[in-house]
Amino acid sequence: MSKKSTVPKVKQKLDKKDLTISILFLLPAILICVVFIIYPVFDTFSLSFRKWNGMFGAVKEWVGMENYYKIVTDKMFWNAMLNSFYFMIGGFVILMPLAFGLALLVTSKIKGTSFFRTCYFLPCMLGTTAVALMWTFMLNPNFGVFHAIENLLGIDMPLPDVLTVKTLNVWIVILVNEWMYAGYNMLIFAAGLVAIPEDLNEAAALDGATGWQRIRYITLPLMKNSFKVFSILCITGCLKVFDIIWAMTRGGPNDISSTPSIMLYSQGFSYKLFGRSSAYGVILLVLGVVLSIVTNRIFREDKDLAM
Amino acid sequence: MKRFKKAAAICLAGLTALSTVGVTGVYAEEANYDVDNMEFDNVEIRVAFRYTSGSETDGQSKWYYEKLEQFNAENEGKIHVKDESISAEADYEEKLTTDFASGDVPNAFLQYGGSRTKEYVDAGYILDLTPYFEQYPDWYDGVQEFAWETTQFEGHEGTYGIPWSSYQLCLYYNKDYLDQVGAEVPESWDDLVEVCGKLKEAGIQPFNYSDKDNYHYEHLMSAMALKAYGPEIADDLATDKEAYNGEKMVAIYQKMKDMIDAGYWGDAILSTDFSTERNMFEAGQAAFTVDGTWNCGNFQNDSDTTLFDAQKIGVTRVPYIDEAYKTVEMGGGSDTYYITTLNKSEEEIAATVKFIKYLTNVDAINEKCQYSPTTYAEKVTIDTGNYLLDEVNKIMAENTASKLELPNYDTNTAAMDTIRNSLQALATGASAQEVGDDIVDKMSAYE
Repeated sequence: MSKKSTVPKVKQKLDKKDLTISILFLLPAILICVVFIIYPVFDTFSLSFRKWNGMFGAVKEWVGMENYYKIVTDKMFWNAMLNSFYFMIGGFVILMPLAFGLALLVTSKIKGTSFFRTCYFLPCMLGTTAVALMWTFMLNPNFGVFHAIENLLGIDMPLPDVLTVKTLNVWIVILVNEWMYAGYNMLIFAAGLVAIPEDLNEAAALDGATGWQRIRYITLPLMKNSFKVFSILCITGCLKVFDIIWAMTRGGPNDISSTPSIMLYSQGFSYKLFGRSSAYGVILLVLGVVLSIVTNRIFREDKDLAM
Repeated sequence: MKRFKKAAAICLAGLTALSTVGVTGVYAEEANYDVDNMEFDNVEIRVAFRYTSGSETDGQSKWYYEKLEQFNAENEGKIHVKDESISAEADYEEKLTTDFASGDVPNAFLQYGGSRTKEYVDAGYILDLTPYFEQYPDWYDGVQEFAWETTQFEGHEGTYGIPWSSYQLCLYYNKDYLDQVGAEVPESWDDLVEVCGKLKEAGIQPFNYSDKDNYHYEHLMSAMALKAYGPEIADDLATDKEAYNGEKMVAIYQKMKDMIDAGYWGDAILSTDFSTERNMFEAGQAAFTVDGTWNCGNFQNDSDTTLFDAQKIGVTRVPYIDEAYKTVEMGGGSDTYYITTLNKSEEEIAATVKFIKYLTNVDAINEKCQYSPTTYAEKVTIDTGNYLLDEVNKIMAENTASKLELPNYDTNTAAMDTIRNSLQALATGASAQEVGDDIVDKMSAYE
């Protein structure tokens, strides 16, 4: 009896010690999270209902839903949302098959896969600004590489200024973005591919399944988690896309290639409407969370098949 | 007890009177504006301008960094100036916005007057330099009268800065190309269109106009409106007597659009920045270029100075639209230094005034003009030997009126950015009326 009573006591003591140590270890991370994520989110939320010109000490006047109303009635917001939507279409229609195809290639048994893997990942290592500048220069109709090729071939035809044409400029940026991130997303799919037991493919091959059938009925269903990760990253990434479009077009000309994140930035830093800029932030946050939950739900079906 | 109370009351009254004297004494000490003769003890100040560190071709930056080093050496142990310059305009504006939001502002910064600066003045964060100018009348008198506009703000008496550069939008031309097609230097807008037609026929590209930086169209629009409707148009637009989508302004956009549609401004307007436009002109790839008077120095300092050295570049006024306003120009004071008071000690403010005075007295600006021959706000007396600058000075001396960029007069702080952005649409196929409507529509969203 005494043994029974002492054992839990000792355990309890250890638990408390463990708990303290755990808290101490967690504290820096929690502190960083609170200071850099939780507090700014709450502050942004509060500021989104106020009007503030970004001047230190100036009153942050309560305006209720005015900032949200002005955003949803602004055609530029909807244009920016449409551009983000184009990014999502590009992500699912171009980037996903491309990255998956590359992943199949680098996990196959052909020679030189390490070389290919490095090559495909190289654009991602260059950095967004470098990639954006490189393509902007290449596409420049005055001195870009296509202009040089034209000169070489003796063609005397003015090249279109593709980064200034509505919608086309967004798609050009999307293509550059897919070129850059194909290697990165290839790694996500490659990780999923190598986790599929080889026996399954061998058994299917013995049963007479063709290569495509093996991909359709074994690989794809077993890679649901990889596709889920890709989808969430793609949706949230496209919603808040900023850097590459900023570096290539600055959201212009005349805001036609803006995205919600660029609008957030310009409202705050160009027009000094920090309340409205915060409202943009809240809208992006809510949309990001909602779309991530929806994506999670879509991929939750047939849970036992997922790896 | 009564006696004690009386004595206490007298003592308190005496103390109060004495403290007033003390305060007056302190005030008298604080009211010393003779910054050149003040004692400073290890004061560190930060300044944020738009100079380019390490640049060999930018004469103004080269001069500034030499002066900065010189000032720090002369004031060692007393004042140390830390430079936080950023040359790119958008990045610089972002820094200022962030600094003013956090309250950690530089001691002095650069701006161009107008609605952007007015916000800081309204908030009470900018130093009125009037008492310092009274202390140093030569400093004030060294500046040309027309240049002070960037330091005056409606609703505020006083002088809230010191301008050091001035400018005017000019038309630069390649003399050989005009001779080649037998054309005179265009005086009116119609003349310009005619000359462009002749050049195009002869296979010479009239302009490689640039608006990638999105200020170029707006500069020209301001100049054209002033030359079509006179200086009153600035106030008429600011007070809504005229609208940016009204008949008068749409007529200006239409003239710009006609130039684009005729191919006179080139094919890559929105992919070309101002330095590329200038470099292409210097390389003989265009007959004209429109930009500020700062180009006089740029043509002399750029890597390709063949045209400049051969004196093949000419300069003239932006062509008039109504002859009555031939000598009305877009320009005036430009780069202006402002001193901040937000969270700054009296000693820091005095040290900053001393440094700014060091940079903007007439002798210093004369020296700066040697490094970069262009038009300055100060009364420059030296001869730089730059033939274009001599021409520009002659032109400016005959001006009857000059106004800053039109959006500067608008009370809507978003005016500048929205107008600049909307005008870019001219190069993407939008009609003149659509551009005007877009400006009004966007500006209303920020009221």
